[in-house]
Amino acid sequence: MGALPDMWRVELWHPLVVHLPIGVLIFGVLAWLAGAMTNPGGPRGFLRPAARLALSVGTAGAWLAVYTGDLADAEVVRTLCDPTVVERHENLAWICAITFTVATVLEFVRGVTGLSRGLRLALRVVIALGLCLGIALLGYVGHLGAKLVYQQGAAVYHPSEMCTEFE
Amino acid sequence: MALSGSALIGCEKPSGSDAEEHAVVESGTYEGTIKKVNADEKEIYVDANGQELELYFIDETTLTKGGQPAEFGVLEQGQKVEVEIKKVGKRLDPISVTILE
Repeated sequence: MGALPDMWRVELWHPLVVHLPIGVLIFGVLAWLAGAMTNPGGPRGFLRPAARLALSVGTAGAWLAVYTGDLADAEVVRTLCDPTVVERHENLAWICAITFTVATVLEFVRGVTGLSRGLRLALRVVIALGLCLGIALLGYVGHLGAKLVYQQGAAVYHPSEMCTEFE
Repeated sequence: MALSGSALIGCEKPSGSDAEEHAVVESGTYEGTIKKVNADEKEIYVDANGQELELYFIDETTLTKGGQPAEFGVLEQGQKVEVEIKKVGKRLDPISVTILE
């Protein structure tokens, strides 16, 4: 009778950390877009700082997900039937993390006092485009991750036919 | 944003060959040059007539040099190799790797 595999094996660190940045970045983008349409001094003035916090936490989490994804790749790539999916998943995740990093840094730059009105407006447009690009990439990267798990069983343990390891 | 934009149009993850999407070829024997050796993952990247093959050694992979079995550590960038590949799905399993020089 085989033993059940450990739940702390290295390829499971990635699913442990990846869902937080997905949720927080989606929230951050929505909060930023809503904040851009409201008066910062009004009752919804909390949206802009909330968006900054969410984008900062989400971006840090995205890089942690990229790192743990690299670790998981080394463990599971030999078991995949189509490793090209994991390559695309990795490459686009990296681009997604860069996009959110640049957009988040620019959002903080936008908050610096002394910038001209025109520059602020230009930054706002660039950030909006970056966040829209980032969220699209995030969705597609997540879709590729789901394909790896639900079509190829990446990092998934397959119980024995009689489930004796659970007895 | 420019950085991520440039990444989208071709300048990908700057960590070497593992950033690229690699060729999927049919089972067979190919000659090429080693572009990169990743000892940690027992993995080599082989340029075979312009197609970059990403090959993860498996338990069954044999490595020979001068007709003798060799250890993975002898593999180096720039070596000419002949690889026998078995295509499993879209995964390329190296059955044998022979160092030609």
